[in-house]
Amino acid sequence: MSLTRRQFCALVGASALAACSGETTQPQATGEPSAEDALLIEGLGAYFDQLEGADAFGEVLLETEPASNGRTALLQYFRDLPGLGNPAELTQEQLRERLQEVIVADYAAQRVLHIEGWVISRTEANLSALLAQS
Amino acid sequence: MAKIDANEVPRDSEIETDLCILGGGAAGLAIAWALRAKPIRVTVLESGGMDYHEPTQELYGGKSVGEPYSIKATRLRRLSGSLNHWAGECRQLDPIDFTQRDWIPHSGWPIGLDDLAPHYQKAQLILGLGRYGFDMAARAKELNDSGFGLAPGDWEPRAFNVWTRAKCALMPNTKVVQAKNVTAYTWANVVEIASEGTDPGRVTKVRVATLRGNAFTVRARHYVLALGGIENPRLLLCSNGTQPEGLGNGNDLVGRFFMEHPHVSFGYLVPFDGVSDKLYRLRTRKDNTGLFAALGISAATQEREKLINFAALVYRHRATNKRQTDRAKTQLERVDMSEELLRGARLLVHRTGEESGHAFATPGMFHIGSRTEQTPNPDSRVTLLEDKDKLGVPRAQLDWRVRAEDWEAMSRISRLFGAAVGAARVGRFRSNIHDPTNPPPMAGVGHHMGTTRMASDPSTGVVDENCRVFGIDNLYVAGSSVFPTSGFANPTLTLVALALRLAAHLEEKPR
Repeated sequence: MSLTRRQFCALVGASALAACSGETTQPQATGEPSAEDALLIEGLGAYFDQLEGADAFGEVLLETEPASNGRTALLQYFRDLPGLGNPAELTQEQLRERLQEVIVADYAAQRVLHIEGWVISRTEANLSALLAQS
Repeated sequence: MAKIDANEVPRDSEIETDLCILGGGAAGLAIAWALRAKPIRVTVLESGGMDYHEPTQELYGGKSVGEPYSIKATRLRRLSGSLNHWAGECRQLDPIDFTQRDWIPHSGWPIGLDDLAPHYQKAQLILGLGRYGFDMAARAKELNDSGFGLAPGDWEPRAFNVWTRAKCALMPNTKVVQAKNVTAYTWANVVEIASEGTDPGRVTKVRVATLRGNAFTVRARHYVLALGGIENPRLLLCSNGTQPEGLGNGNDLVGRFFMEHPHVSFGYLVPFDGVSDKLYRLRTRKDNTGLFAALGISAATQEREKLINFAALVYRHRATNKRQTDRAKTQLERVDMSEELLRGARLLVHRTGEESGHAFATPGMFHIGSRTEQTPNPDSRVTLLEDKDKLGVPRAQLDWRVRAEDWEAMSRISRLFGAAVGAARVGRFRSNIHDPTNPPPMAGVGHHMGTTRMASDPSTGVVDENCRVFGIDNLYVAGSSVFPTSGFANPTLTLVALALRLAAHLEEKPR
């Protein structure tokens, strides 16, 4: 069964609510994400129309480079992306467009990885890795 | 051109001529064509007849000890030679192919594209390639399609022209065969190039033998060796009557530097919707000649990234029925591609609705083929075996070797290609050459080059800039065996252009 974007958002939203009811809102490298992180992940997840398989590259990355692909580092990567602005202030469509711009810029600057032969931008790879562990 | 069966020539007789061309293939016949109706007697010695003949073809039989290769299957021993099974794809070498590139050992020609330009135009005509020209802007305008629209800089469209067999002047029974000053001997196998006396600086005759037992000699003022990139060194090496190491082999270079165009499946492209591949498809012109385009790496990028010359060919992956689907699946499974990652890549280009039973059978998916330069490698070579053919000529051994640096360069090229198509929003690319230590299956395509390489100095090559064998006044070599580097372009157009240039040089020689 494949997850639609709507189903994914519902799932991540439920996780975020659960996290908000807890005592801490600090980002966690493992376990449930904070509410803020969950919202960011939800927004980023909107990049894909369909999520099943979207994390395929991420799973490979997590296997081959687990140290550099922790959730905290990946979230920070997206927060620091110069072209993205503040994701929380963007609609999903805007976020998606900005992500596409960042990804195109990645390719133009050859910020790419070979993942089992696929030439994938750093941002796409990080997005996949983030989704794979969320 | 009169045709004479070599079996009918009186035994042990001696034929005198001005120019003796050894080999009636594309290179040899191009020279005969250029010298038709000139005041010069031209004799062509062709091993085969008009049709395929297995016992004659068997004379090619040799041994391959390097990369898998069939020596016998890549050439045809009959009049017009390998043109008889030629696909007819042609392109000039690029200017950078002629240059000495400090990142490619043994690169550099003693001549440049300008030296060949007028001969390329004539070669285009006699090969039946129609209108001369490789202008991609005109092509794009004609098709109203600019291709993938990659950012200018790294990748540039490259045109190929495709022949029409019926228009080629070098096929049997065409005009070259009607020239009165040209005589072609069929079934005439040259078994030795001889230089008499103590002077190895001149060839005095060639010995000819037929499979039916006849034998005679041909004496000429000038000789042109035009037997192909394996047979040329084979005959030079076994012609050791006065030079034990073989004719022209004083520096142990004859037979070395064998190059091919290693063909590999470069990879697969999952395109965004609406991406057009029209520019890259084969189109037939009104005169029945063909034209298609590939994507080549610019000279500036080759220099900056220290790359080899390369072109990517775009093939649409059509899979509209089960048979095609199964074939696509087989092809893709051979390259060990993860189906899950392919699905992931399709999500990256937001293609979600075109599953057709199997993720591999994606209509609109492009297979990317390759045309690759092989860099010169002295250890990739033709030598002689002890074993001899039916005429007593030692058989050839081929040790085809591709340098590890070539695979590394191709891996970097694949990364560049993937980045370029990503930046242009064309799609996502899966390279089959991502791991240079584990390259995909490779095949040669019958392009035998480099074994009698051209150079400005005998210490680095076998022939000079006029294709004359160093140290021998009257022996020349025609064909792609003189290429010092291979470029990525199919060699026939260039070898015919070089042959025409050699013909012009020989025409000026005193008779």
